[in-house]
Amino acid sequence: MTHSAHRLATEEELQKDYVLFVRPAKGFDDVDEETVSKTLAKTRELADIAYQHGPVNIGRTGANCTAQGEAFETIMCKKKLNGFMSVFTEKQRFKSVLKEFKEKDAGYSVVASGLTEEVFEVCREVGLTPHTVLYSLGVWGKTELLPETDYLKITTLCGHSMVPPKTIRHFVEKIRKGEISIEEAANKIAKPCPCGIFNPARTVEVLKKLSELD
Amino acid sequence: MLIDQETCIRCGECVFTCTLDAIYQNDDTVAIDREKCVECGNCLRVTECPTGALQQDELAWPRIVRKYFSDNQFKWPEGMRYTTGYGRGTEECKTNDRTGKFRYGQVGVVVELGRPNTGTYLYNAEKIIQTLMKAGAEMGEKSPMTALIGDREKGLLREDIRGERVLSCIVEAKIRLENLENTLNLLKEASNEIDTVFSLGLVTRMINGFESPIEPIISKMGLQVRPNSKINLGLGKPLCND
Repeated sequence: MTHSAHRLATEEELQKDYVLFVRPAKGFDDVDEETVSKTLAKTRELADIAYQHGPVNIGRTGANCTAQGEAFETIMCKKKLNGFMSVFTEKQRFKSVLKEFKEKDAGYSVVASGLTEEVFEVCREVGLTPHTVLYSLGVWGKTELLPETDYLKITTLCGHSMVPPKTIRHFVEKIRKGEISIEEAANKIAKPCPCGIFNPARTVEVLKKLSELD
Repeated sequence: MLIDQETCIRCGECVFTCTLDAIYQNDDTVAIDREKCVECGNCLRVTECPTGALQQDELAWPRIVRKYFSDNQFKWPEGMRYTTGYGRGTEECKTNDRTGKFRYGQVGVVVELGRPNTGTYLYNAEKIIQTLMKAGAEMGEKSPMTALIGDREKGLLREDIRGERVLSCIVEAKIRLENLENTLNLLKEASNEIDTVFSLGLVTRMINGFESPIEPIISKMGLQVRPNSKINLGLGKPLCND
């Protein structure tokens, strides 16, 4: 999930894209049965907080996500020590989650991906002090091999690069022919990304633009 | 991956699911270019193949390395499950508030080759590993890519995997802040010598939460960070203050 720092979009588009991870640490939260049990319970409590604030997606690697139509309860039933991921399109909701996380004081690492200055502003407002930042310096090398920018705006939403440009082209054609709605297409495009980090709402916006182009 | 030509009805429903355009269709056939295929398994998961012609064949070393790197739902073998057991990298900044992997005065360098959407041969990673070593970097421990280095003195990958192609792979390292400019200059040179792309990330401890020690150096070089980033919010306990 290193790639959440590299989600490509305009600043305006990124104002509707806040990713939030809760991540237990290897060697800390898996050392014995009691610790594992506590970690699972606390992760669940934090996931409940996030879910109550209406993310457009929430999920876990290996347990699927709500954007795929999976029920939140089913996702959280699986005993996994990899935390969870969620996506919010509204800054206020994102802020509310962070405020409650701070009050909860669970002691697990929490990571946010989004516009740096916007996230910093929220941190100041709720009293958080960022510890470490992974900055993106963009794409280097043979950039002529890259697909067009609008396609990258969707493909970079998947943390493991499982959404191919060809899939997007396929569904854009179907939208143009009237065979599928934009929302249905966004859900189909999200299918290869089961971890909960994909933003289907932002995908809809990009698809609207792509399907209008000649 | 393979497509059983006996049972394939050439509907073409799998063609658009391939992450790197390895599945092709012409008048007579739908088939997989085995050289291009990185064994990510996306086609098998996404396509509703009406006849079951699309299949995962049994993979042996070294080809299975493609799958370890490319398939986000395929676990690394025992001994290489450094974080969740899946994926291409480590916890990098995600848990740094607790692990203290990156401390004041250090910069994490995270080079994801083949990303976005180009794929890469592992020999490109070797080029980046050698470049980072030349810059005096300490290679990231407990990282799949580091584990596949055969010759640590020269930064050479195991010979048997150099020619394998993957969806992406991550080279992780740590440098001293004072070496950042030189490291970026060397990476710039290396970027002209590879046949793919990489996404470049830099990890830094923040000063008083909001001041980045790397930004003045990056600006002086005429480089720019993107407006979005990944931020560890410092909620972990006990908090590493170094």
